[in-house]
Amino acid sequence: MLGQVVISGLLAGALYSMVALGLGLIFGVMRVLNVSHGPLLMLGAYTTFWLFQWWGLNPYLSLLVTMPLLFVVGVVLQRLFVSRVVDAPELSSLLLTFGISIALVNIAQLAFTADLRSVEYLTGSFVLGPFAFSKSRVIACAFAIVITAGAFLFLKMTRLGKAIRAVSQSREVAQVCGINVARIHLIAFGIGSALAAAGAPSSRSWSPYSPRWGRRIPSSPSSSSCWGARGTIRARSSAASSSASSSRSPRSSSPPR
Amino acid sequence: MKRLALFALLLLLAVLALYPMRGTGYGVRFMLQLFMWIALAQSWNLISGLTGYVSFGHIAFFGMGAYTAGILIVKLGWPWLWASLAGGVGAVVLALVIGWPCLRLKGPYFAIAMLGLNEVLRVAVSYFEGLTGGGSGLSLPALYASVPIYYAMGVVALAVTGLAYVIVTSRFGLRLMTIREDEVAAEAMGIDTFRYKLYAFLLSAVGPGIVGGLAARDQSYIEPISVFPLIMTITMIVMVLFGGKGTIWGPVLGAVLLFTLQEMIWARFIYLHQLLFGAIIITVVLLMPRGILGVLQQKYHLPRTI
Repeated sequence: MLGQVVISGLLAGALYSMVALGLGLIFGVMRVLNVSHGPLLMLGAYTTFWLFQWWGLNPYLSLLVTMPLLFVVGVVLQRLFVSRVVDAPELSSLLLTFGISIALVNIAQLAFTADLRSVEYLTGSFVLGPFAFSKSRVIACAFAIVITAGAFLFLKMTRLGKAIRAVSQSREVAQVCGINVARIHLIAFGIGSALAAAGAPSSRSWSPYSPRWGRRIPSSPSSSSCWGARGTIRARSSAASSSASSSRSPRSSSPPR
Repeated sequence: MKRLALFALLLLLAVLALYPMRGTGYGVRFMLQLFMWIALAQSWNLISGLTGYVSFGHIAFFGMGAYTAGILIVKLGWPWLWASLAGGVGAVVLALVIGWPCLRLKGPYFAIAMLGLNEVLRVAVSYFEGLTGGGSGLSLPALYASVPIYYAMGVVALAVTGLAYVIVTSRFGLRLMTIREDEVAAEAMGIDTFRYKLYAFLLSAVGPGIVGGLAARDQSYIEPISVFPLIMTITMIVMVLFGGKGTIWGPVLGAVLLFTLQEMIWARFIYLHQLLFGAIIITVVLLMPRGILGVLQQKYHLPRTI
């Protein structure tokens, strides 16, 4: 029983850590705690759902659409709203992103109704001795590891990644070195939103959900982001895995309201 | 001028005290909830408006009061008034336990800790089913008249506003505002910042605790998601920001305007009200973070005891 909980927790933790990576990126670069991260994931999930419903598109393939789409949504949100509160006290950004969050959930309810939806993809489990590995979770975990590693390499290796890290370390010095800070902020929010969307196909495939669900998920990713916010990406990933395995006890795995 | 303002205030109180005799049932309930929001917004203002420490889970005290009072009424048969006051005590105890470690956190970390407190309490209340009824909630005996609750809520709203007046005009208030402006400088001047933050935090928990107990009695049914909603914390923060953070009458003004507006939106656009509320939050944060009274204060050099 305990072993099963640990396995499910670690598998889910990889996914949470990927979603929280986007949150942590935004927080690290701008000191903005993005409360609307969950609703952004929810938008990605609905895009995945409709693509699957209309054209039977494989949820993981549909990321080629959802991630760029959410990148654009993130950039627009940053440009219109968040950029105005980057330097304000933290209360402003918390409230602002909360306002965005309830507006997004309400728009999604109007557009998609509040019905529970799910994608029938990769059902069933691999059984190995006494333990069951849910297929969708194993795939989600592998995928999350790939994306997390990709984001890690992007931040470490590329010029743009270096610029993003420079801005998060010291905005003034980065500016003096000729980095366009406002542009980096736009890109960081865009990438953060796209990483939220990257969680869409995986989470969609193991529990059905409705627009309101978008408001409930952030409690896990945001908690892991505040554990790992000060540290490195590696710290953040391990925080997410441990918080997921602690919260994924059988009691709390009932369907989200 | 000052006497005129005092006279107007007394007249307003007299009208409000006599209102239940002529008012409709809806009117009384509307005013009752308005008093509740004034008390909540004003309490949040005491900690966050004065010291600048953002409590992003202040409704946890409301929920604590509601459950303390609810359990005392249901299990021990206490009268609602005493149970609600006990709810206030319960909220203060919670504030002491939480404030002791958390008020040492700075910046967004205090806000996140308070947000976490609210989530933890909601889950804890669902877990202890024997005492709290768990997820299926706690039903209180039927309520026959909401007029006594109307007066109780009104008294709490008035008391919290009076408390804000006393604090803002005292040395204690000055110390709190020094912490808000520059905590390091405050410490350098010999202010024991942690102690004063804790006092302000405890005082800010009393109002929501009592109001929570009264609201539990008024609604006759409480459940974890109905007394620990994040959206209520946000609503009271937006009320304070809208009226004017750190002022005495700002939270009252903000609560009156925003609650009335919300009620109108809710009645007209049932499917859009959350979207419109989100739009209101965004507008307030982006366009008038200082609030109505804050802008007036700056423009016309009004005294800070407004």
